[in-house]
Amino acid sequence: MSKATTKIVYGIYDDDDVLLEGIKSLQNKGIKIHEIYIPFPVHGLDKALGLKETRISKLAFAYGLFGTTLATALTWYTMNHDWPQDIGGKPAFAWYMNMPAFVPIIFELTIFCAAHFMCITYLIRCRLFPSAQPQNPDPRTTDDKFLIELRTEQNTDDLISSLKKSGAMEITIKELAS
Amino acid sequence: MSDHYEAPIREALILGDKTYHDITKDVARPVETKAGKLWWIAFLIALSALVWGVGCIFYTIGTGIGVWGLNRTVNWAWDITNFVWWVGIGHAGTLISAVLLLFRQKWRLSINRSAEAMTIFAVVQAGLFPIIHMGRPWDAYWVLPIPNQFGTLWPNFNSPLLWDVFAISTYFSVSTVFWFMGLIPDFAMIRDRATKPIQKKIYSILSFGWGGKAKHWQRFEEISLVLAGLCTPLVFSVHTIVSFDFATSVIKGWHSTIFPPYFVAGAIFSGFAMVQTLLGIARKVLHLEDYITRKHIEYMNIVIVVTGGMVAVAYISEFILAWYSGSPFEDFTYFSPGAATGPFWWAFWALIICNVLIPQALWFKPVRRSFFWSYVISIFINIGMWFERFDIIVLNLSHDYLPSSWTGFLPSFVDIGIFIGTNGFFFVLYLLYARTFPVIAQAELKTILKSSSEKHKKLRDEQGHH
Amino acid sequence: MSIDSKRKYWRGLPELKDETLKDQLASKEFTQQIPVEVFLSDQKKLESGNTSRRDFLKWMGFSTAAATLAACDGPLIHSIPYMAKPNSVTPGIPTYYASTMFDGFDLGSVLVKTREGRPIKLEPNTTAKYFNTTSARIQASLLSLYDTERLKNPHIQGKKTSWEEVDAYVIERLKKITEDGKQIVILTSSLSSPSTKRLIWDFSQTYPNTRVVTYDALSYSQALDAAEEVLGFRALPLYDLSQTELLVSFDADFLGSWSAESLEHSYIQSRKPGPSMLRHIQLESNMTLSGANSDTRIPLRPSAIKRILAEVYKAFNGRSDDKIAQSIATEIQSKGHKAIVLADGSKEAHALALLINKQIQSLALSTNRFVLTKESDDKAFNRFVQDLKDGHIGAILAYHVNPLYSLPQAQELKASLEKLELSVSFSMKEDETSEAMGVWAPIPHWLESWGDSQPVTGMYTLMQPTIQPIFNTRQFQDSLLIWKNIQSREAKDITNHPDDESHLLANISSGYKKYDGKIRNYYDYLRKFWEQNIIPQSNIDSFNKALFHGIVETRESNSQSIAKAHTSEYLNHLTSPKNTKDFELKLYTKTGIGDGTQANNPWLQELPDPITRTTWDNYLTLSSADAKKLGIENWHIGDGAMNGHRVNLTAQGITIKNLPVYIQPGQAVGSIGLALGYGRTKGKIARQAGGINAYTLYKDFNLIQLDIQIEKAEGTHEFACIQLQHTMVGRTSIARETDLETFLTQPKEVWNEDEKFGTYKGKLPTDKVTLWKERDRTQGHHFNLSLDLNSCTGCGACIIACHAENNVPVVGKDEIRKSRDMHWLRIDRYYSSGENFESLAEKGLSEKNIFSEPEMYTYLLEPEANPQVIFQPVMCQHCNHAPCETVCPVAATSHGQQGQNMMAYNRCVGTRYCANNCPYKVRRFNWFNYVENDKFDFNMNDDLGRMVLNPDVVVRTRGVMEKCSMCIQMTQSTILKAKKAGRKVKDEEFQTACTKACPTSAISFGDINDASSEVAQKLKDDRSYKLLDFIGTRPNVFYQVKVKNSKKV
Repeated sequence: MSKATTKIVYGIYDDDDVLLEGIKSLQNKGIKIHEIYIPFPVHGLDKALGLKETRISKLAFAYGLFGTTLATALTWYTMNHDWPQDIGGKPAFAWYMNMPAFVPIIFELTIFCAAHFMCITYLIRCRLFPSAQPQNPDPRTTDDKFLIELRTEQNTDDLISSLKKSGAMEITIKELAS
Repeated sequence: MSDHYEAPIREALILGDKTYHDITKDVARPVETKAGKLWWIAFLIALSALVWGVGCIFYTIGTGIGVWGLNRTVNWAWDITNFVWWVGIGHAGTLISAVLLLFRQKWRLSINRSAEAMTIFAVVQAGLFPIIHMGRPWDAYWVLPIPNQFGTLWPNFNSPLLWDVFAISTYFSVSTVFWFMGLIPDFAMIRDRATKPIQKKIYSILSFGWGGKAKHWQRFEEISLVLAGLCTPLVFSVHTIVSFDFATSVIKGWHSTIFPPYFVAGAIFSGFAMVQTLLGIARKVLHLEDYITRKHIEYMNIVIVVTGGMVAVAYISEFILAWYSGSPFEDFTYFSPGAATGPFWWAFWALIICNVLIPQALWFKPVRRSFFWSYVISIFINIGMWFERFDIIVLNLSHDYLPSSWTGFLPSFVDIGIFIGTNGFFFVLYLLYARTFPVIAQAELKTILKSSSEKHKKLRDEQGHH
Repeated sequence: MSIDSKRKYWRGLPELKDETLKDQLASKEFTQQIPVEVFLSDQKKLESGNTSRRDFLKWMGFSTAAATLAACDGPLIHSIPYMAKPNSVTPGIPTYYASTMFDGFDLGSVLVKTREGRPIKLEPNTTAKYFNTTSARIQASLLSLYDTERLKNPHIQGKKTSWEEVDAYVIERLKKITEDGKQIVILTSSLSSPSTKRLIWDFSQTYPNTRVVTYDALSYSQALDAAEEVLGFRALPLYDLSQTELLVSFDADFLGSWSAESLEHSYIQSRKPGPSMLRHIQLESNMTLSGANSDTRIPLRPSAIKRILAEVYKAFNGRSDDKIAQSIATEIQSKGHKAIVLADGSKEAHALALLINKQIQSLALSTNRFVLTKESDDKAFNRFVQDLKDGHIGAILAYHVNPLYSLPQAQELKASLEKLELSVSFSMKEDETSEAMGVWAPIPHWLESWGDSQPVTGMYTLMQPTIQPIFNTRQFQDSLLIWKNIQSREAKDITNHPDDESHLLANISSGYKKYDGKIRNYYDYLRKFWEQNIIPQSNIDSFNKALFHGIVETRESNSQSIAKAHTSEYLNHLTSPKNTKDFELKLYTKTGIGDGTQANNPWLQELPDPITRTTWDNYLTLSSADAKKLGIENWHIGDGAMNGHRVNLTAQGITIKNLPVYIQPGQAVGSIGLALGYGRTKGKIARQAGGINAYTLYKDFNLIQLDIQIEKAEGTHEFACIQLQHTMVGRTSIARETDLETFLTQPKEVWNEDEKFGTYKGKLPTDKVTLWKERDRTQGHHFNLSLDLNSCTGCGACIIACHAENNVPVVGKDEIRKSRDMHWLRIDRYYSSGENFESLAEKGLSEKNIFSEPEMYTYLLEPEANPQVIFQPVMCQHCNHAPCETVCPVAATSHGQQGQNMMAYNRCVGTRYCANNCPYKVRRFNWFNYVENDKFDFNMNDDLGRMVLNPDVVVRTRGVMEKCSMCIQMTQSTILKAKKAGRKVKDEEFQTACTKACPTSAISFGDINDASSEVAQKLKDDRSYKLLDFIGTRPNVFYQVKVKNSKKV
C-alpha cells in the first residue's frame, strides 16, 4: 500500500427492519456509519444513529415573532402614524386603541413568515435547490432499497463481511475521487 | 415487529398484496403511461369551459361590471358567492394533511396529496373573484401596502376585505409550500425511475436533488409537523376572516356573531364533499382502488355528517334568533319565513334540501360506505353550499333596511359564464396534476405499509402476533 | 349620433371673435418640429469621411433624443385660455345673472349661474315676491340650451338658408297676403311679455289684418273664463295661502300645473305644525301630488266630485242632503274667511269655487292681484281653426306652440296648414308642427334671449342673454321688427281692426305710449319700451338696475269690471252628468314632463314621478278594484323590474291600443288617469321615452273625459320603476308621522321615540353608547342637513338641482329598469297604511313566528285602497360612524373634518363593499362609462351637452362609486370667500344645491358647531330624529317628523 485512498462501501438492504438490525450489529463492531439513504423515514433510525434533534422548529418560532413585529409595525405606521384618517370614527389616535381591527393581519403575517422562512431554511440546510444533482448514490433508494454508506482507508474486507452478516443483499465498493 | 403493531380490528388501509415497490409502481404509473381517452375527453371539456370563462372575464373588464346582473341594492351576487364557495372547498386539503397529521390519522396518507392539490386549485379560483369583481381591476394592486408616489397613501387595515387579501394569500402560499415540501421526495422517486431524458430533467429540477439522507428525513418530519401546526389555525382563520366580510358589516342577516364557526364548519363540510367528488373519479381513472378504500370514504363521510350537523344547527339558530329579536327589520333575512315564502323561495329551499336533508342519509352505514351514494351526496352538498352563500349575499341585500330600495337579482350570461369558466379552470388544473404529479404521498404511505396493509395484517395473524 | 353633435363648439368668447386663435394656440402648445436641419447643417463635417468618436456619440445622442421627443406627443385637447379677460368673467369664479325662465309653459324669475361664459345652473331669484321658486322643469330647462337637436339655421321648405333670404321671402308674401285681404295669424302660447305684445301691435300697424291667437297646449281657458264671469277680470286669481287654515280642493292639483304660480311656498308656510295649522281636504280621482300631501283625501270619480262641489254650494245657500258635502260645508263655515276652496275640471267648477270664496271673503284672495302668465282662449282658437279650414287665413306665424302634437284634431289641421301661402315656425327644435310649416325661423333658447314679462299684477321681470347664441338663431321679436319696418304702406288705424276677436291687441293699444317704430333690434326696443312705460311707475330708476335685479314692482291694480256670474247654470252643469258604468278619464301633467314642451330633456325624463316613481313613460292609472275586475295585474320579474298588462282604450270613436296600466293605490274606483306630454314623434330623447300621446283624448280642452271603455289587451309592458316596495312593511320608524292632536297634547316619547341601546347601565340614547374613544367634532365647522318631512311636497326640484350641480349622469330606461338609477338624492314615497303590527294583532292576525310568514304581512306589504302618502328624501347620511368607510380596502372613502363622508373617486377600485354595507343604500356605482359612450346617448355623449357640466365637480369614470358629497365644493368656496374677506361665515351662506332649490325650504343645511345656526336649532327640535339610528351610524343628516292635521270626514 503506497498511497492510502478513501474507499466507499455501499451496503444495500431491502427491508427497513433488517436495516435497523444491520445498523445495530455494525455499530457493535465499532464500525462508523458514514451516511444512510432511505426511501421513507424509518421509525427509530434517529435513535439508532444517535442523530441530534433538529433546531428548525425553534427557528420557526423566531420567524413567527418576526412576522408579528412586522405586522405591528406596518399597521401602526400606515394607520396610526403616517396618515391617521377618520375611518368610520374608529380611534386611530393610538395603535393600541385601533389594534382589534389589526388582529387578523397580525395573525396572518405571523403564520406567513414562520412557514415560509422555515421552509427556506430547511432547503438551504439540506442543500436542496432546483436542478441540484441527486444526492443518493443509487436510484433504488427512492423506491424500496435502503443504503448504508461506509468509508475507510484500510482494507475493506472485514467491512464487507460484517455488512454481509448484517443482512445486506448487495455490496458495492467505490474509490472516492480525490 | 411490535412497533408495526396495529389492532387487528382496524380495517386495512392498503388492500391487496403490496410491497414497497408495488406502491412505487402504482404511484408512478399515471406519470409514466400515456393518458387514456377518458382523460382527454374530460380535459377538452374542462378546457373549453375555461376558454369560455376567460372570454366572459375579458368582456367584463372591457365593458364594465354592468354586464353582470347586479344593481344599486344588490352590489354583490355570483362573484362573491363563487369566491366564498371556492374558498370553502379549498379547506379540506390542508385540513386533512395538517389536522389529521397532528392527530396521527394514518388514513390521511392516501388522500392528502390529492386533497391538497384540490385545495390549491380551488383557492386559485377563489382568488380570481376578488380581483375581477372590482370596477377597476387594473388598480387591484392598490390593496397591497406598497409605498407609492403619494407618500402617505396606504390601504385600510380596518377593512375585512383587506384582511381577506392577507388571509387568502397567506393560506394559498403556505398550503402550496406545505404541498411542495411533501412532493419533493416523491418527485425524487419519479426522477430516479424516469427513462425519458426530458422527463428526467424536469423531475430532477422539481426534486431539488433529494437523496433521502437520514438527517434530511429527520428535518423533513420536523417541518411537516411544524407546518401542520401552523396550517391548522390558518385553516380555521381563513374562513373566519371570510365570514368577517359579512359578520362585521351592519346589514341584517350579515351582522351575525355565529358566522365564524358556522362558516368554518360549512367550509369543511363542502371541502370534504368536493374531495369525495374528485376521489370518486380519480380512484377509478387512476386505478387507486387499493389505496382509496371504503374505510377512507367512510371516514370522510363521518366528517361530512358531523360538520353538516354543525351547519344545520347554525341555520336553526339564525332562524330562531331572527324571530326572537322581535325586530321587523329581521323579517326578510335569508333565514326567515319571509325568505321561505318570498321571491327567492327556491334558493331557500334548495339550500335546506341539499345541505340539511340529504346529508342525513350518511347516518346509515351502508350509504356511508357506498362509493356511489357518497359520490351522489357529495354533489348535492356542493350545490347546497353554493346556495348557502348565494342566500346569505343576495337574499339579505335584496331585502335590506329601507323597503324603498328593495330589488331582486337575475344573473346575466356573463355571471354564469365566469362561474362555468372557473369550474373549467379547476378541472384543467386537476387533470394536469393527475397525469404529472405523484397523486399519493408514496414515501409517507410506505411508512404505514407494515402496520396497516392487508398483507401484513394477514401475516401477523398467521404468525399469531397478538 | 348626428354629425352636428360631433363638431367642436367655442369654449369662450375671444375664440369666437378670432377664428384663427385656436389653431395658433394649438400649434404653440405642443411638441415643436425637431431642428434636424439646424443640427445637420454642418455640411463639411458631414461629408468629411472620418467621423470622430465625439461626432458619433453626438449623433447617437441626438437620434435618441429625437426619438424620445417624437414619442412624447400627447393627445391634443383644445382648451383655450382667455387672451383678453372679459371684465365680467374670472376663470373659476361663477358669475350670476338675474333673468326670467320662459319656454311657453313655465315661467320663473331665476338667477343664472355662469362659469367661463357658460350657464351651468339655475337658482331661484328670491328677491322676487312671486314666481320665486324653481320647479324641476325650470331647473332642467338649462339642459335644453345644450340640446344638439336644436335648429342651427333658418330653413325655407326644409332647405338651409340665410336670414336675409328668409326676410325677403317672408316680407314679400306678407305684403301679398295683406293686399289679398287675408288674415295674418300670430299663433302663440300665452305670452306675458308686454313689450312683445306692444311689438305685435306695432307689427299690426304695418299689416293691419294681423290677428293674435293664443293657444296653450294645456289650456287655462276655463279657469280664465270663470274668473272673468265671477271676478270680472280674465286672469287667474293670485292665491296666498299663508293665512289659510282650511283648504278644500275639488280635484284641483294646485301643487301641480293647476296653478300657474307655485303655491307650494305659502301652502307649506301655513302647514307649520301648531294650533293654526292648515287642514287640507282633497277630493280627487287620480292620486296627485296635492292629494298625496293632503290630510284627508277622498277618492271619487270626477263627476261625483263636481256634484259634491255643487252640493257644498247648496249647503251654503239653502240645504244639501249629501253627507260629505254637509260636513265639508260646516268645516268651511266654521273657518270662515280663513278657508279656501279650489276646483278644477270645468269653467263651472272654477266659477262655483270662486263664488264660495267670495261668499266667505277668503283671505287667500285678499291680495287682489292676478296671475297674468296664462291667456289661453279656446273660443278664439276654435274660431281660428274654423277660419283656417274656410281659407280666410293667409299666413301663420307660430311661436312657442306645437298644435300638430298637442291637438286632438291635429290631422285635419295639418292638411290646411300645408295649404297656406306662408307659414313660419318660431321654435327651437324641429317639432311635429314645424314639419308642416314652410319657413323655419329658429329662435334662441331663453338663456340666449332678451325679453320681459308681467307675471303678476304689479310685477315685471326681465330676461337677459347669458351666453352668445350658440347657433344661427334669431328671436321672434327681432324677426317681427325687421318684417314690420317696411316703408311701403301707410299704417292703417288700429280702430278698424277686428278687435272683438283679439282683445289682446285691444289691451295693448289702450295700454302703452306710442313711439316711432324705426328701431331695428329687439334689445333697443325692449329698453326703450321699459324706459317709457315701466321704469317710470316702478320702484327702480334705471333699466340697468332693473336688469340687475331681474324684477321691478309697480303700484298698479287690474281694473275689474262688474262680474256676471250665472250660478244656476253652473249648478245645473255640475250636477248634470249621470253616473254611468263607463270609466271617467282625468288627464294630468307629470311633475317632470309637464305639457311636453321639454319632453326631449333627459333629466326630466329620468326624474321619477313622485307618486308612481316611474320614469321615461306614461301609462293609465287604474284602481286595484277595477284592475281585479278586468283581470289586469302589475308584477315583478326576478331582478325586481316591474311588468304590467296593457289595455285598449276607447273614447267616443278614438281607440288607443296597448296602453300600459299602472295599478295606482288611491285611484278612485271607476276613474282612470293618463299623463299628457308623452308620445312625441320628434326628438331623440323623447322618442326613447315612448309613451302615448294623451292629447288625442284632450277633446275641447277638457281634462275630464267621460264614457271611456277599456278592455284587456295582449302583451305586457316593461316599466322603468325605481321603487318596487311601496309600503314601509310595518317599519314605521323609517318615515315618522303623527297627527296634530297627538303632537300638540302628548309628550315627545309618544310620537317620536328615541332609539335606545340596552346597556348594563340601563337604556341609553344611541349617541351615549360607544365602543371606543370618540373624536372631538366640536372644532371648526360640522355640517348637518335637516329634512322636514312635513314641508316636503315631493316636487323633485332638489333632484334636478343635484343633477345639475354634481354632474349626475343619465342612464336611460333600460338601466333604470335594472334598478341602476344614479340619483344621489332620491325621494322615497311610502304608502303608509293606517295599519301597524299592534292594530293587526288586535284583529287577531298571526304575529311574527318561526313557522310561517305572519299573516300581517299580507296587509303590510300591499298598500290599501286609499293610503296615506309620505315622502322621504334620502341622500348620503354622512354618518360619523360610517359603515362604508370601515370596509373600503383602499381607504377611498373616509370622514372629513367637517362631518362629511368623503369619496376619493380616483382612489376607488370599485369593490362595491361600501354600497352593500350602506343601510340607506345611497351609494351609486358607475356600472358603465356614462360619458362619451354611444350606448348612453344623452347629454354627456356630445360636446354641446357636456357644456352643462359643472367644472367644480369631477365627472366620474367607469367602475367608481359615487354619492352625495353635501355639495362640498359649495361649502368650501363659501368658507374661502369668508376667509378672504377675513370674517366669520354667516349661517345662511352655507347652502347645498338641494337647499337652494327646495321651494318650501324643507331642506336646511348648516354648521351645528354654530349654536345660533338654523340647523342647530332644528336638531334640538322635538320633531327631529335620525334615520335607522339604532344601527349606531350617527348620521349628520336628520329628519323632522311629519304631522298630519287629519280628522275623519
